[in-house]
Amino acid sequence: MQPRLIRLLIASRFSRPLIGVMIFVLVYSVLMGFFVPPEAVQMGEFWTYYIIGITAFFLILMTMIGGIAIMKSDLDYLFTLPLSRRELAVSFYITQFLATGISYVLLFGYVFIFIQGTSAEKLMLAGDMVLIGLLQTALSIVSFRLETRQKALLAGAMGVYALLPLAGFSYSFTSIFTGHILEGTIVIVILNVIFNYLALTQLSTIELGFTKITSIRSSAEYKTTEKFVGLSQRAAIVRRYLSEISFTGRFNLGGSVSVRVSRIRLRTLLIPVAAIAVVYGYFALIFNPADGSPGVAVVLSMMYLGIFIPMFFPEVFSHERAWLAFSSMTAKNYWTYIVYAKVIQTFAMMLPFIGVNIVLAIIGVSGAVNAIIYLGMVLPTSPLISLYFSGKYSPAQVIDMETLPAEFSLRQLATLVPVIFFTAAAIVSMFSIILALVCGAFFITIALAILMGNKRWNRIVYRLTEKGFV
Amino acid sequence: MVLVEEETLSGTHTNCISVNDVTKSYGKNPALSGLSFSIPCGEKYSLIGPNGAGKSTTLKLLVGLLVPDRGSVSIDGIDPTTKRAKKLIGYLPEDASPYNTLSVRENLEYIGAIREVQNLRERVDQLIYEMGLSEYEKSKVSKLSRGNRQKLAVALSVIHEPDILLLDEPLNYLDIPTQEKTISIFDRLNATVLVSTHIMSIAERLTHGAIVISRGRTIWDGTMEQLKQLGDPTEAIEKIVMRLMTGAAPTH
Repeated sequence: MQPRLIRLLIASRFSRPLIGVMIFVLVYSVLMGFFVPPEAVQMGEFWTYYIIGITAFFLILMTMIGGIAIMKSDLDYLFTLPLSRRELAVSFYITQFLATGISYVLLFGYVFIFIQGTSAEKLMLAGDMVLIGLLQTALSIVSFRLETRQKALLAGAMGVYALLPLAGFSYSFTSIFTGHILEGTIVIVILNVIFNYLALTQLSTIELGFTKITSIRSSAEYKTTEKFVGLSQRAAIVRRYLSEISFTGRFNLGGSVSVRVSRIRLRTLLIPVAAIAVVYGYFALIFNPADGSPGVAVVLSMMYLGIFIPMFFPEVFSHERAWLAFSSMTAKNYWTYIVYAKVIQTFAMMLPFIGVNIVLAIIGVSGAVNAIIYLGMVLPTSPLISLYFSGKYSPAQVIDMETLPAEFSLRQLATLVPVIFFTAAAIVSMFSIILALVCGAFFITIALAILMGNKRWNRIVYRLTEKGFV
Repeated sequence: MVLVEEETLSGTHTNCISVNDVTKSYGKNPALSGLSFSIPCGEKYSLIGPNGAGKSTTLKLLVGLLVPDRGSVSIDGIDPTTKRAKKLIGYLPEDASPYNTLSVRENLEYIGAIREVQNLRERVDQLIYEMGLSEYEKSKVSKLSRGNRQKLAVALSVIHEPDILLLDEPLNYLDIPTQEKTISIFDRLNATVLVSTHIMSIAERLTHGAIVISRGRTIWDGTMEQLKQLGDPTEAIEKIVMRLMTGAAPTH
């Protein structure tokens, strides 16, 4: 029964083309790890900071926005079948790994380029990376039962623990990247035993407690509410969308299995963003090459902002309600006002980074001026371009936030197309200030062209409706 | 029979709802195949048909969320995608889901603001009271029961006191007292009403006319009384409708 159940769960959650792409990326990653020489990727000692930082990031992400890859049909039909709890738990765990943990294993190639050591050490490290993927999977399951503060505490603890090897501590799971493979492996195994035991226990009782878990995860009422009385159409829409941040990685290859929406006041959001900007400034100062070329910290930070900022916007569509929004206003006006709000939100989120880069530019850090142009001109266009792409190519409406709204499909990767554009723009912008300005002008022109098209927005509404949006 | 009439009731148009020879497909799957009907202003009609007949698609076309592949639809003589038409229409889809990320009051205030409702605070207070949602004002919609979500959806569809109501299974999930309140709220609006349903008892309670469609075409229209007269006096109206849909001969 077990293999058939696993096949059923995988088939109901992942489209075949997506599984094909995942296998391709995995093989590519492995080949890259073995055949690309370290000198071909000029990161020097920064790679250690990079891999530890990215490991911490993934663990924090999965702990904060993870969930259980469960569908409404599982609750209605699968749980009523005479299946053993153990079979269900193991099957769910494997599909959960494909949805969340595998994203870390896909980093395999990037790590192996830089690993210097014996064959045995390399083999041990490969196993460790799979184990970190399993840990990531377990954390996404375990955190599902926790309240937001508990999640933040666990995520923060894991993040700090992951970063400790940078201060010379050798008994952390990331110390495998600082030459302490044996100590790191022991920690990874211990953490896996603890968190995977908790995860499998939770999965084995999920059918009994799913409704209860989802109801206790957050309070039933908002503590502070927004007032819309007396506001114009534009002011109402802007106020709503300024206070809503949604994030998801439903397209898999490094994402969450359920959709998360948080109502965060902009000024609250600016506090952690400012802290991250200061950390960025510190690394930009340390890794500032003497030859005048942009430092690896500046380039990578801009690239990652180019990857993550556009990911905040596609899900705006998922939470819209066509029957309310587009039966009240014309599509173009409604989307224009949402875009206003999201551009303001993005620009505000970029302000701490712009401020830090101004200081860096005054000090004379290479690439800081280019970064200011990228952050001030290119990235603020990302809400519009990302929204347009997701509406046109991969819309999926979220009705119930606790379950998977649809299977993971290759089409959802279309959401990543703008990410490619913005990442490429980050790299191009680093070559010269003129190129940065050209990129800025190009993206603003594209954004305005999209915004102006009346019929374009109407067509998106028709497409959303045909795709089942209500 | 409901006919396209040129006399005026609402000023310049007899018919507040018109569907003329409309064809609509989803990819290769036809949903509507030359559907035509019209509803005079102020009248209340049910759109009756089996699953997959094209009822919901018809309402989405009338509210401007879809456009026909061929043919035309109009609301009080104007294109439903225009701002003017949107002000006239109140729409409630089947299994309506309000904004999950807003509270009950926020949903009503938000939609009220973008619909530019006058005296919005009073209107929101009134609807919250009438629909029995007072204790859930601050509740997250994602935490509401299906019944309370439907109450909110009903309130959202009428917040701007529309002249034309397009309702898709509006009484789903509602308990009997709330059903009665909802019907009285709809009646108070004196709107032109088109209710999509496949439950005849709901059709009879909400409307006095019926348009029966099957496979995307109109197969019969008229008053409920005329519909009943198609069968024996003792015959259940459901059986009469079933015969219409399957093309069987009337009993008399």
